[in-house]
Amino acid sequence: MNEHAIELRGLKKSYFPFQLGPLDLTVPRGAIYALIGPNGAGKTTALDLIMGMGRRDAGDIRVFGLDHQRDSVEIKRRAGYVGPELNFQVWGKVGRAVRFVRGFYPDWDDAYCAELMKVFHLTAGDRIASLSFGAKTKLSLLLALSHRPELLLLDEPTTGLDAISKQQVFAELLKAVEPGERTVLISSHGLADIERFADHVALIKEGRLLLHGRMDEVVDRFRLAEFFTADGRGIPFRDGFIVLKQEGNRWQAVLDQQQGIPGWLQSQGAQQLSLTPMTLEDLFIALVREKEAA
Amino acid sequence: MKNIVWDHVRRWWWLWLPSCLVYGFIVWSGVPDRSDWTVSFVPIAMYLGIVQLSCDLRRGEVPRVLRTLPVTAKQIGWAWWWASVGLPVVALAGITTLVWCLAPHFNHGPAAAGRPPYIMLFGFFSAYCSHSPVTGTGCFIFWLTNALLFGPLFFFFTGTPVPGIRSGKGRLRGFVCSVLFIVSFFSMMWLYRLFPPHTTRWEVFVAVAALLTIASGFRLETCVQGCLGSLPTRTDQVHAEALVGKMVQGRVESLFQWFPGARHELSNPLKGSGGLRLLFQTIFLPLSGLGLSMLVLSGLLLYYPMTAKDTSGFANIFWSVFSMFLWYASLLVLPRVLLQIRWLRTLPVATVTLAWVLTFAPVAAMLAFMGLGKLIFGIVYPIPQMSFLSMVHQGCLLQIALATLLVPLIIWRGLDALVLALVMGMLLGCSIGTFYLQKHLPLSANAGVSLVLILVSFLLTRLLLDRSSRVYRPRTSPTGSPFGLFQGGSKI
Repeated sequence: MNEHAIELRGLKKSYFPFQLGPLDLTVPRGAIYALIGPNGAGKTTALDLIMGMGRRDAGDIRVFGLDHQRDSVEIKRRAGYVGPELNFQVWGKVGRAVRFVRGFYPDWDDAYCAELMKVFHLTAGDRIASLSFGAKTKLSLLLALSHRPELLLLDEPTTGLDAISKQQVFAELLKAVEPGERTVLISSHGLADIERFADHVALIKEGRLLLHGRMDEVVDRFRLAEFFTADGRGIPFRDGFIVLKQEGNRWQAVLDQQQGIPGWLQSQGAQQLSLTPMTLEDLFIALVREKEAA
Repeated sequence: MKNIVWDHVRRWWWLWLPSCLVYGFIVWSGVPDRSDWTVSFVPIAMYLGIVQLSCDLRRGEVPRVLRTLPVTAKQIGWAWWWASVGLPVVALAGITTLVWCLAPHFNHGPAAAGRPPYIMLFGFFSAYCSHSPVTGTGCFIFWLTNALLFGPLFFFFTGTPVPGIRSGKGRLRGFVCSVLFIVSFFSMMWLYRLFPPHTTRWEVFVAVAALLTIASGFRLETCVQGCLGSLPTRTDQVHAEALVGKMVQGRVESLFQWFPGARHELSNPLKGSGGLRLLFQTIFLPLSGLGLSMLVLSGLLLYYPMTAKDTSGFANIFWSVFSMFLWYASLLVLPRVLLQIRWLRTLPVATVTLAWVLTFAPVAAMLAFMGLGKLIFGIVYPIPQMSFLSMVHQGCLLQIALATLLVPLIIWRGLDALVLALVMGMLLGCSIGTFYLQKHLPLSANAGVSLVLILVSFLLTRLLLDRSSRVYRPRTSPTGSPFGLFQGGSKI
């Protein structure tokens, strides 16, 4: 059995003026992998390409070791997808939409589907036209989860949901991946939720991978530093040292501990250096801003 | 005011252009002297005038912006009047004059029959057109009748209720205007019979229409204040659209439950087959049902004015305009399925299978609708019936094949301005092509071309699903949300 759920190698796709990649990414089996990045970074494009929506320009996509084009039906049978497309009106009622999707999955779990309907406060007779945005998102999630997929691809699944609905959605997702055999690849802007939910993270910007790894390692790797320099002395720029603010001889910066920046800073004359842990959101803002400034 | 009018023209030029072309084509064809000329009023009056304003008001974006601008209600009202009545009348006058001046130079008239066409465009026209000369009087009467339709339409439209009217008097006025607005659309089909040119009745029509056109100017300010004052917020609009969707769906369901087995399905939406079979049904049933209803309704409306002149020719003409129903029904049904292609593509179904269902379900539905329509017509109308092969020869199969091109077209671009313009071009091409092919293409070639076109639609659909990334981008409709049954929200 292949130990990776998804492997992207040298993946490239370009639309004028945007270019994704070359992107190399490996999502291990059983991982909850978050794909984060600013708007237009290429997250949806990457997820679309994995699901066969559009064709790559170059590179290789393998899901469970299968070729994503040749074995697309087999991959989709084992995967569930929740995306921004919430237009289910054509099916009229929730039950009809469920019936439609169920027809494609021989391993559809009716009992689990009924349970999810109860949790998400949906009934088979509900008219889709009168569902709220949040309820449609829940319907989308229900349709993706009910066949107990091995892989879940979630593109902004909590956008537009209130705090309680978000909690419900994440609780159900966690329940779904509890046995540890299911893999989730999620793209979201809700970084606080992602930090709690995901165990791996990859940050992409302008189609390029900036950072990836285990969530705890990535967050722990960086520190928010405050320090002073004597007599207005400057500090040279280098990789892993991101200046957020400088007022006179007082500095605020993000440091990459893996590159030994704290030690290097002290050698450059930094005084009263204080280091504090960062949240994923702080780190995201610092890294994205640094690239914009560059 | 000028800016508002020009903004309107800039946003709707794509609908103006084909409408003007169609109008020019009708005048060129010498229609004023034909018995069936009044049928051609419908698209011109609908597309050029009030329908565009109606779309703007439905969508709500334009009036919402106008409300914030430093312009008076009177200025907005006159701008709307010019956009819906003034400019179309001027445009039609220009086209009529142009055609009238050009026609003699292209040997249009009895002498043109059998001659090679000068240029391809006019060649098509000559193939279709009657051999009646384009006369100055004919042109004037045609223009005047057409132009005067805009005024009454605008008058009734500005009297229709705006959201928030609570008084009994206001509601009554709104109800009367709504009924007259709807009746005015349908009455256009009967216009020739009701008001034959050069008669007292026609003169009365001209006088009343002129009066209503002038009268519409006096209610502009109140109408604009009503429209802008009670303009719903975006949230209200979403709720209202959902409510309308719910109401329409409820009505359809209450009718649908009379069919055998349907009551059971409606009460148990989870029971029954799903997957591709349900997808096929979702395209097949509404398309054939809607097409059939349109066919029967149009038959009822057209039977009286058309058979009064020529009973035997009714079937011929009727089946020749059959393409319209195919196109309209396809435009109403197909987008609601095709615009969720992104979601369909995430399901475990091979591209070739999905392309097959999306292309051949409409073909099957249209063939069924053609067969059923023929059966119903055979029973209801005492007119000579055509054989199935004659219908194919008349171009019905070719029109079905052309209508299947809507599938890759909508998948490719959604329902944007270009697609709608192309659709109208194809509609025009269909009606011209049908008459042309009837004369020049043998039955076997007609059927062969149709099959090739269906195959091309299938291959294009497959190619787009497989290779294009564009088809999976979010789509919007340029006219708000009228496309697709039960479609809530302007973003489709």
